[in-house]
Amino acid sequence: MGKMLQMEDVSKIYDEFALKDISFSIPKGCIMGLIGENGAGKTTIVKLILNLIQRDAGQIHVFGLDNIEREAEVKKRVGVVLDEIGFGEELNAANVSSIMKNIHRNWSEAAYSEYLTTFNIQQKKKIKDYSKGMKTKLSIAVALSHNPDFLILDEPTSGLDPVIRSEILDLLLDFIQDEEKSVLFSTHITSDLEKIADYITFIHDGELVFSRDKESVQDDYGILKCTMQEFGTIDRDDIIGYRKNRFGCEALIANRQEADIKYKGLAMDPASLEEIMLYYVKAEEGGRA
Amino acid sequence: MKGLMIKDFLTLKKSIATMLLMNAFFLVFAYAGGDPSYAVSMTAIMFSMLTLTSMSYDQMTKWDRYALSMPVSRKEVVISKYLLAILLSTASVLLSFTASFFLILPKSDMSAQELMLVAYTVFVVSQVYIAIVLPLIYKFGVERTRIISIGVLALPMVFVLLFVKSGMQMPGEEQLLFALKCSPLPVMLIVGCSFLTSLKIYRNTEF
Repeated sequence: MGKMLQMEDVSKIYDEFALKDISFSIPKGCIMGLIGENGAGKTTIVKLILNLIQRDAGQIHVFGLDNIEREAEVKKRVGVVLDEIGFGEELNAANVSSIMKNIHRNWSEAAYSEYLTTFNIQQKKKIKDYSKGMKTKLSIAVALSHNPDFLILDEPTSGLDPVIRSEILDLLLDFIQDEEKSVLFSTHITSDLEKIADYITFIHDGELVFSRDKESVQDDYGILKCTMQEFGTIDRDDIIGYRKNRFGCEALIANRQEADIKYKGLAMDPASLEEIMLYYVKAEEGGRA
Repeated sequence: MKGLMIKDFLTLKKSIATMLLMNAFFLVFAYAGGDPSYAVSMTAIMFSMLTLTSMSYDQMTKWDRYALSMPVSRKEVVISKYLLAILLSTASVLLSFTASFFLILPKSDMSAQELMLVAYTVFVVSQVYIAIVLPLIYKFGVERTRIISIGVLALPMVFVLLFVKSGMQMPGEEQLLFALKCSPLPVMLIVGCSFLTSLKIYRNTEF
């Protein structure tokens, strides 16, 4: 399976934040979820891929091409949805098509019209009269209408209701059907990724926690539930983070199968992506054993 | 490039319509005062501001970041802004000159040649204004540049005042005419240097 995106030891240093040695790759035909708390570095990664900011170290290849040396070629084949729509409020969907057909050679007015119809967006309605959901849908219609091979979405579903979110997720699943296209989907709404992602890359405070297939994450991570007394008997190296509650204690562990054998009799549930994120962040805040 | 220009004109459509309406008012005032140079200079000043308005919209909507995520180079973005500014200022001078020529000139003391001279002077000044202001916007953003540009506009007046106060003789009409005749090359050089400066700044800007 070829690689759609490959990041190798990429770093970006700011005064108050640093993205350090990030390496991960996205195979063709799959959806990669990029998760992390606000300010973890998700948008920085998206900007680095798009060469909107200069990296301080590392290499980025998209479609096997260097994203800086072959920038124009790369960007012809990428569709992007950022947190803001980018177009002025006075424009309408028809205006957007007039602009885009002069930017993308592959722009398909027919495909764009079809997406607008699917999303129930009127051609002549001004963007200033759009809801947040409509703006996102327009961004997605624009990103898809030049038939890209790689879709990059930065927080597209934040602030949207579950119905619109579900429509967008279905569209992304359709997009990767031919197994030649991929999606990088950055979000902190982990439930969306639980539904559609094939791989998960977790960034925390500028560092890569893991990048692996979603099923193995769901199989391996677990929440161990115990009393405070039982908690005292658990090997601290097995615990990533924990939370005390009035019934005792809950701890995130990285190897559920091993822990099941090691701590027989203790209750263990699979950990959701949200719990994994939460416990990793909490560990930093003193919740680590 | 074409897409960027279309985006700018579509975004500015409403502002351009407002400017044209104001242009009509300037023409009325100029007609009442019998001074066509007023209409030409005021229209050019107002239209020069439109490029700032366009860049202000871009900043507000984070357009640059979005445009650069598409197959658009940083060079194309900068060229498109210079083209927009030059096109708008040229169109405004041509438009106000033509309107003044037919509507105001017949009842004015000014000759056609003098009006052409005024229009050309205004054109030269507006190109120099663009050349100074655009790199400032790329460096400091639109809002801070608005404040700085007041200084840019005031600077020539300060120079004239200092010139007069120092007791030096002001250049005569013939010298000014000679300077204007020689102006195309220096103006092109100034705009060229300005473009290269803007491009250098923009290439190092992170979005």
